[in-house]
Amino acid sequence: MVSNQGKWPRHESVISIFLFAVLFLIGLVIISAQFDFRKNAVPAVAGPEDIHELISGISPAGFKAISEIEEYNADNLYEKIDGKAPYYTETGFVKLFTRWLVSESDENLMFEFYVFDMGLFANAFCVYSTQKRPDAQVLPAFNPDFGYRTENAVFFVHGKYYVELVGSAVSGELLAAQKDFAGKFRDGLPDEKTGMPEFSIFVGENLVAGSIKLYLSAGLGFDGFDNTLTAVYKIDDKETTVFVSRRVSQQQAKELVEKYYEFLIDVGGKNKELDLPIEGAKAVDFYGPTEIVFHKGNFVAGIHEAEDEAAAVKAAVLLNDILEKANHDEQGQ
Amino acid sequence: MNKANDNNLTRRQFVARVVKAGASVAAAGIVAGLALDKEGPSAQAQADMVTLPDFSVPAQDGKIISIVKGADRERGVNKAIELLGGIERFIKPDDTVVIKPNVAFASIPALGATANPQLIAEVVRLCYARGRARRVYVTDNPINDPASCFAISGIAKAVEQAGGILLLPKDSSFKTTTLAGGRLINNWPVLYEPLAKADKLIGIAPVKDHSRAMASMSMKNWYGLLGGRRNVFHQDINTIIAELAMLVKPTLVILDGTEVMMTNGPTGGSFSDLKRKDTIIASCDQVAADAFGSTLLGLRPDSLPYLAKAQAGGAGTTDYMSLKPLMADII
Repeated sequence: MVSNQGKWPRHESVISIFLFAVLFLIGLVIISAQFDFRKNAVPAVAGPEDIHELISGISPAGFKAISEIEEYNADNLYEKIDGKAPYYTETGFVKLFTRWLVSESDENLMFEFYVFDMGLFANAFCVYSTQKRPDAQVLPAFNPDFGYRTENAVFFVHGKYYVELVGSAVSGELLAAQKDFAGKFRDGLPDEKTGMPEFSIFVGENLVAGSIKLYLSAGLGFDGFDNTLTAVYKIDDKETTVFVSRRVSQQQAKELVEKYYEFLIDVGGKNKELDLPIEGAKAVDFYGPTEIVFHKGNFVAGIHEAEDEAAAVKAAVLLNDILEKANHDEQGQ
Repeated sequence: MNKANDNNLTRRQFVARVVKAGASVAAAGIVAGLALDKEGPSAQAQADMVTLPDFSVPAQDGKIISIVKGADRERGVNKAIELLGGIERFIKPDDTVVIKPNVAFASIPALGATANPQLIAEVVRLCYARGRARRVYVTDNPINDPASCFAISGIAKAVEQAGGILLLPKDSSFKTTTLAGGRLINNWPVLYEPLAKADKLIGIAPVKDHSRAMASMSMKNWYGLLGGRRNVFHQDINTIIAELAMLVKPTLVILDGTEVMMTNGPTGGSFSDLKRKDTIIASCDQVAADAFGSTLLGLRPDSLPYLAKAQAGGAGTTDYMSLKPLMADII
């Protein structure tokens, strides 16, 4: 509204200023709240400065750093690992720290550490477990699901960090230094939480130690399987891969069973009639190997590419029993 | 009465507002007009645009691709080139040769993430000794500190010992190019300076698993010629590899399948990522070389979309058997 003279009435100007002031105050409150939220949301674990301090201080006996610590973020990770960068950035990558360490007595013995801050344990475990080498050997003092070594390298996950210690040779001296680094790194971050509640599903003497893997998306090649865990069980001397994926409701779990079954049939699998004592379970002959899928409560579960049908059935029954107990325990809580 | 008047504009007020709005539009138009580049790209920018030379040599039926089995890379590459007619077929006296190995990472040679230094050195020696080349340059554009990548991979030392000349990329080494009919390589910087002074171009690459492209071989090796923020092309990796194969017409490619990175590529990290396949391929047809190379990774050529795209673009054939590969065994 304007007066005949084209001027805004005084009382409207006052109201406008008041409204702007209110909006400005609301903005201030929101900014303040965001800062509080961030402060409260950051877990009490090492931030980038702490981790930098920690890794710059780790000096395995007989080894010295020969380069500065290099840092990479999501924008320039490709400069260091090129074609592998998208896998990390799509899995929650935050920062990478790298550095070369060399033996003081033999310049041919060196290793480069890659400390990936993946933001969350689940992200770190996903990239760790899905790249795990088949020749993985036990890394002493580490849970076999969270650390291993190969001839020349050591790999482990600790909290939100995935760490690679890539060595130049097969050497006892080098391996000792790598183990030393791994232990000091882990001990330097005592508050990092390593593990997920779902890991407790995979139990029993038949479980192959260190076989748990986590797929945050497209597990088993199926788009519907996000947050899917797999593990290997040894039954009747046959290794069988089982999988579990938790849904938000029983109905969603039931629907996902149907979708996965349809997916397997669509890509060439054949329905298989098996005498399975599991309600609603479906089996598919997938070009020879057997696939089984069922749901128990909110869990979708099954057997993946089992070469031995009898072992697949036994593993499915075992998994069904475990999930029944897990559901029972959850309901009881 | 006043309230009614307040709710309605007078004619004078309306005209004033229209004039003000018109003036605003006109002002915006003037500003836009001043900012308009009526000339388009400058003559200088056009002059900086380059076309990569064609380094290929005349085809000889039955001598397009050779595959040599054996554990010794140096003997293997000698035999593979000999089967195609010898290095003299490819390198003429006084030629300037550029060798483009895959030096993507500051990674030790034993991890197999970069081209093998001894293999590169042997090709440098061949170019000088048998091809009587005037100069042999070795270059690549690893984004992460090229000097470190060449040093740690062992390539710098091997090239120097063989008499080759290492060319590390500088800002001035790059010129922009466009692939005619291409979708991604459009006004994009490439490592042109070394190529501008070359008569021949040889690519040397290891066979590797690649988390994005499934396989990294001869064609993917040209990725190292790209400048700029080339990681954007990872979103369409098959197209960029195919376009690179259409853009770069090498004299020869050498594909090293002696120790193949079967998993966790392209960086690897564990010796167990490698598997001995004891194979060296030399080829005038990079698509055929990679089609065969894919089999060393346990893949079928038709599982790599970029091979079909490159073939469709005229860069070569995926049907390497139709070229009747020359085979030899030096075990």
